[in-house]
Amino acid sequence: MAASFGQCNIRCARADFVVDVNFTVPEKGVLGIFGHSGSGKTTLLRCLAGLEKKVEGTIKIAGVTWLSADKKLSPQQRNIAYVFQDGRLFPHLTVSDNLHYGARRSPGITGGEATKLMRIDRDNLVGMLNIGKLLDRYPHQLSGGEKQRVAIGRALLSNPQLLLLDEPLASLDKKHKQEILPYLEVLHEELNIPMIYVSHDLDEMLRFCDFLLVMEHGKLRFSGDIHDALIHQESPLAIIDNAVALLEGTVLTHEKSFELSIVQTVNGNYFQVPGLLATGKHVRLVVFASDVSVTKNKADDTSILNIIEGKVSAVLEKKDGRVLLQINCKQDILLSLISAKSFQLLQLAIGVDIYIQVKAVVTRRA
Amino acid sequence: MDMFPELAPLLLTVKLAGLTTLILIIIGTPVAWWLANTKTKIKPIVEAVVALPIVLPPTVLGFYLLLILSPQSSLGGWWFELTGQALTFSFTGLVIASVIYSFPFVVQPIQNAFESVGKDIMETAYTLGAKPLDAFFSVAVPLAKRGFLTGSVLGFAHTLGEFGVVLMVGGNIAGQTRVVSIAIYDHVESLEYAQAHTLSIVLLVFAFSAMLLMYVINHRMKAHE
Repeated sequence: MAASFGQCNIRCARADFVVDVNFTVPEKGVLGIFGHSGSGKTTLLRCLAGLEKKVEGTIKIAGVTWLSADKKLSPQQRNIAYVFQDGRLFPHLTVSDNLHYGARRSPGITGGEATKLMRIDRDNLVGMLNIGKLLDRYPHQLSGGEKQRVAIGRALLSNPQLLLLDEPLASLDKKHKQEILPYLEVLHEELNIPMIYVSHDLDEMLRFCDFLLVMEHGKLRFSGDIHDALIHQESPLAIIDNAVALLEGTVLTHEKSFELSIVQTVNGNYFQVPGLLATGKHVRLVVFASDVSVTKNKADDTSILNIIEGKVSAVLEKKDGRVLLQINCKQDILLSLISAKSFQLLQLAIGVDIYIQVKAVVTRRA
Repeated sequence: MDMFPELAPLLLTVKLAGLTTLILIIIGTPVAWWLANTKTKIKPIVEAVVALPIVLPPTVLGFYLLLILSPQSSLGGWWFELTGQALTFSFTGLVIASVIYSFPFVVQPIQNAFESVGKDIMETAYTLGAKPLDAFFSVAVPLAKRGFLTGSVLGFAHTLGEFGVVLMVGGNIAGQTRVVSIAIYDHVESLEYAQAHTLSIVLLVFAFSAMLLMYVINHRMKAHE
C-alpha cells in the first residue's frame, strides 16, 4: 500500500460475531471497505469514528492516538466527518444551517506537517455539489439525492482529517444514485482528504476506491490495492461471480468519425473505448471477464477491436462448466471467463501464450 | 386589592403555577433525558414512581407530604432550623408539593419527545464536533420543543387545578396558600355563589385557552416538521 496515514487494530464484539481487523489507512486515495451486509463493515467504521462503546485495540491517525489500552478519544475529539447511509440532516435546520453546523465546530487547521489540512471553501463546495439553490430549504423539502449531497457537503465543511462514508448511496434509487455519483467522483479528484468508503456495491468501489479491504464475518479476507483485490489469487473477489478487472490509463487520442477514444494503459497496452474522451485525461477501464475471449492465433477478420497479446498467468476458478483465467498482458492483468470445453480444446495452462479479444470496455471516472 | 378581593387568590395561583412549571422544566428535563436514554434495569421502577401522582388520590399524596414537610420530620425540621419557618402551611411548602404533584405531567411529554429524537441524530452531531451538552441544546432540545410546550402547559394547568394536595399541605391562608380552587371551595361553603362563579369562570376560560393554545401551536409545529 501507499504511504501510511494511519494504523488501525480494532476488535469489537457484536451479538453474532467479532469484528477483528488490522489495517493501514493510506495517506492518499480512497480506502474501500467491501463486504456483504452483516460482514461488520459498518461496525468497523463506527469503531473508527468512536461511536462504538465496547471496542479494543489501537487506532493511530496522523500521529495522534485515538484508541489504545488506556485512552479513547470521543467522536468529537477525533477530527472525522461521517456521512451516514440515510443522510441524517438536522430536520430543524435549513440546508444552510446544516452546512454551518459542522463548520463552526471544526477544530481548524492544526500545526504539523501530518495534520496540515486544506481548508475547504464553502462557496466552492456548494458549487461542486450543486446545492446553491437549496440553501434556504428544510431537509423535508429535499429529494433523497439532494439530502445526501447536503450531507456530504456538511461533512466536508467540518474540515475533517478523515472522511468516513457509510454506504452513502445505498438508500437512493438508481436515478438518484446516478445523480450523486458524478459529484463523488469530482470530490475524489479535487479534494485531498483521505476517505474511507463502505459499500456492498462493487461498482461503487470500482469508481472511487484505490485500496480495498474485503470483509467477511468481521474478519479481513483481503486487503490491498483495488486492482489486485479484483484479480489476485488470494482475493475472495477474483471469482467467477465477480470477475472484473480494473486498469488505469490515459486518453491518447480519439477518432471522431467512429466516436472512439484510444486509451493507453500505464503498462503500455492500447484500448479502443467508446465515446470521445478528452485527450490526456486519466481514465479507469473496467473490463468484465465475460467480455474477454481467448484465441491462440491473432485473428484479423474479427469485429472485435481490442486484441492484445498475453499469457495465462493463473487459473482462478473452475465452476459449472466455466473457467476463470487470469491473463498477464505486459503486466496489465485481465480476467477471461471461458467455457471448460474451450479451455480443454485450446489446451490452455499457466504460461501459454494467447491473444485476448476484449468485446467491451467500460470507462469510469471519464 | 380590596376592590378586587378575588384577585389575590388568582395572582397567587398564577405565581404558584408559574414557579412550579419553571422548576419542573429545570429539574424535569435532566430526568426526562436520563429516562429516555438509560438502559438500567430499574428504569420501570423510576418511571412508576414518576407516574405515581397521576393515579394517587391527591389527599394521599397531600397526607404524606404533610408528614414529610412538617417541622417534626427530618426534612421539615431541617428547613425550620435553617429558616425559622415551617414548610407546612406556607407558600414554599406549596411549591414543593406542586412540583411533586405535577412532576409526571412535565416529565412524560419531554421524555417522549427525547425518545423520538433518537440516538442517530445525536451521533451525527457528535461526529460533526459537537460535545454532548452542545449537541443536547443545539439538536435534542429544538427537536423536542413540542414536548417542552406540552409539558409546560400541562404542568401549569395541572398546578392551576390543584385542590386536595393544597388543602392538606397548605391549608387556607390568604395571600399565602389560598389559591383559586381553595377560594372557590370556601365561597361555596359560605354560599357565596356569585364569587364562586367569577373565579370558576376565570379558571374555566383560562384552562380552555391554555389547552387551545397548546393544540394550535402543536399542530403548527407538526406541520413544519
